[in-house]
Amino acid sequence: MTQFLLQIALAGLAQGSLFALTALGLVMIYNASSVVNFAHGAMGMAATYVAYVLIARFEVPFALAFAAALVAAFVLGAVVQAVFLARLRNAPLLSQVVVTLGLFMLLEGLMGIAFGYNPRPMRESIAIAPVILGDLVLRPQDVLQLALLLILGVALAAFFAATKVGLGMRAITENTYAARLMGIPVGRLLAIAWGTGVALSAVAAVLAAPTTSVTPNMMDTIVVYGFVAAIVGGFGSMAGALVGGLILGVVVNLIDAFLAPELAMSIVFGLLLLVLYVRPDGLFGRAQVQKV
Amino acid sequence: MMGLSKHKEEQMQHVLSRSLAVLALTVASVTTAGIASSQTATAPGATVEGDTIVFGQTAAQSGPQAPIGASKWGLEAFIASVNANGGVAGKKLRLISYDDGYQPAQTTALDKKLVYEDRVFAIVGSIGSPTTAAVYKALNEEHVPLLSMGSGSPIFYEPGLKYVFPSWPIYTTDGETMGNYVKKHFPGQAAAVIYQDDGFGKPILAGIKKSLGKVDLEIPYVPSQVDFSSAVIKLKSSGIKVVMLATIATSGAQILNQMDSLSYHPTRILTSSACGYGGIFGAIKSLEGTYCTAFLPPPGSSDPQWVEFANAMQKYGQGHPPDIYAAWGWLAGQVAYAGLEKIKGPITRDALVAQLETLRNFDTIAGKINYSPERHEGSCCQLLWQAKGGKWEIVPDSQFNGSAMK
Repeated sequence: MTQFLLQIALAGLAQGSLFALTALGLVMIYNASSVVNFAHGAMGMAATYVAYVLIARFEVPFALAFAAALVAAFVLGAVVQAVFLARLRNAPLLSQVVVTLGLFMLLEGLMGIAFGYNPRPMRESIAIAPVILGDLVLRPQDVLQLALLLILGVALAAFFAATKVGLGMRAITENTYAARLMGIPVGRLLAIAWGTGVALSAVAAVLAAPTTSVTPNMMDTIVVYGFVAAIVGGFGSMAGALVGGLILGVVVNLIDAFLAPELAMSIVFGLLLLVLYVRPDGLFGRAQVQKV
Repeated sequence: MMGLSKHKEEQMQHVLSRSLAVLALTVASVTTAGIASSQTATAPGATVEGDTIVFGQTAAQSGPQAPIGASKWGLEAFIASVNANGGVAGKKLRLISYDDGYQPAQTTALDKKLVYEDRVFAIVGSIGSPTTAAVYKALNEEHVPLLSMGSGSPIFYEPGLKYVFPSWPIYTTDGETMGNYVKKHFPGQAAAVIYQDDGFGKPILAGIKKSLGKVDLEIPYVPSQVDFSSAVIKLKSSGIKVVMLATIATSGAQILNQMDSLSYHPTRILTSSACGYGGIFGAIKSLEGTYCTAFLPPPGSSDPQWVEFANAMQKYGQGHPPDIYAAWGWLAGQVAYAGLEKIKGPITRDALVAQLETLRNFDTIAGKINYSPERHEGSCCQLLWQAKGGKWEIVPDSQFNGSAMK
């Protein structure tokens, strides 16, 4: 039983790392632009097709294809911000959110046209056989996912704390108008924030692809859990998104194993309501105080 | 759009117009709902008056279930080959097919549009259990024939559904085919079922339990699930040696890939809906040795029915491969044609139903089909394929006859 529980927890952490990576990207974009990006999963999915094509058609090594997908994701995010959302800067926030919804449908449709909806295979991120310890199986790709999450989490924390670009983004979050008056290139930094956020979604999508297969809908469920992770963590908190994702992964796997997998989504949203009732700003969020 | 093939162009237009279509459908459903509620019996178009018989279809062309929507291309190929040979009963055939995204609410609105606005003669080859379940009673009450839906859900085989003609083996037969084979070839081995928790997976589970008596572990799932590691860990730690999967294509691929990544290699039997797409051997790298239930010849078969279908797909399939999902559409065309061909006199819906009910041992790509006024049974039998050397091979001694009209 202990080994079974341990295996469930390990699988949960691996799955949770995907939710956390997705949530980190969502939070990054939200913090910079106040836009909830509903196309987040679809943009990561679109970048995954870059890796898929490079691997399947040109036999490019996984690491290189992965890097290319991240570059594509960054460009996609930056272009969407610079071309579409920048023009809507003074429009109601709802219009910007609806643009991301439209983008979500457009990207899934376009990928469906280009590649069809049949599942397409993605090579494992690490071509090393699992390590078997008694009944316990340690999958190298799970370790890679967790390691990448931690490295990226630390790197993002350092980025916001110690780099000029990171500090600029924080200034934009605090007050866009004041940041512009201080000479911060708001447009450029927003594009970088969107590019980085979408690249984080692409990390999750490429790592998920060997399991989910590459399909236009491969991120649909993951991004929903990504939203939940971000909210549980306290929308806006990077640390919250990371921890929220990992907790959520374990919780979902425990529900699958011991309760009813068909009810996982409902139970998770029930728990979300409970968490928000007890802590309206999430586990790591700070209460929003407005001066009057 | 220059440089795109005609098919790609059509798909592009389809995607761009999808949002507008949804809006139009909402309006259409509101208008037609009133019409539908005022209709107590037959819908318009009960008699073919022009020189064309129009079929209607709903099939997912987008979303996670889009692979099975390839049925549309098989039906289009069948219609094109019939028309190329002069049509049927002196008329040409035409198909109006809409993308319902596998959403029952969309199917309901689209079928109303097909019946009351497009005035189709019959609904042919529509895809999906939950989607068809949303419309079959209304179509039956409105006397609109619903032919060869892409489902073996038991609800469509109930007596009294005069206008409903399933052609697939009932899903319990699918389950019994798996169970019988396990009973015969893997006796005493711990067996489990992973099943989709709906009208598709549950009857297959029932069929398995009917033939095996019991299974050691039952694991339900929902189609939106992407991580099956808990399920696979549970199977492995329970010592399960045989796993039967009543899943759709994407979930089947995910589960088998998870099994492989967790170094778990039981005997695996997939349901036919999970293994009909081209490219499955690439999508599931551990597929070798896996079994799959089937009621159609394996792709690439030399079976004359398959060869005829594959040739037509090459000619009229608009670039789509002759896979199992397309063959479902071809089968639907065969059923509709068989009834129409026998009509003498005016082509009416009631005449079509009357002729279909006379079909005995009617040869199709899915084998023999039987209908009678008392029973609309569809295909009787299923067997197993096994993945060997990158292709499917028929497993000898695996056929199960679930017919009550033997």
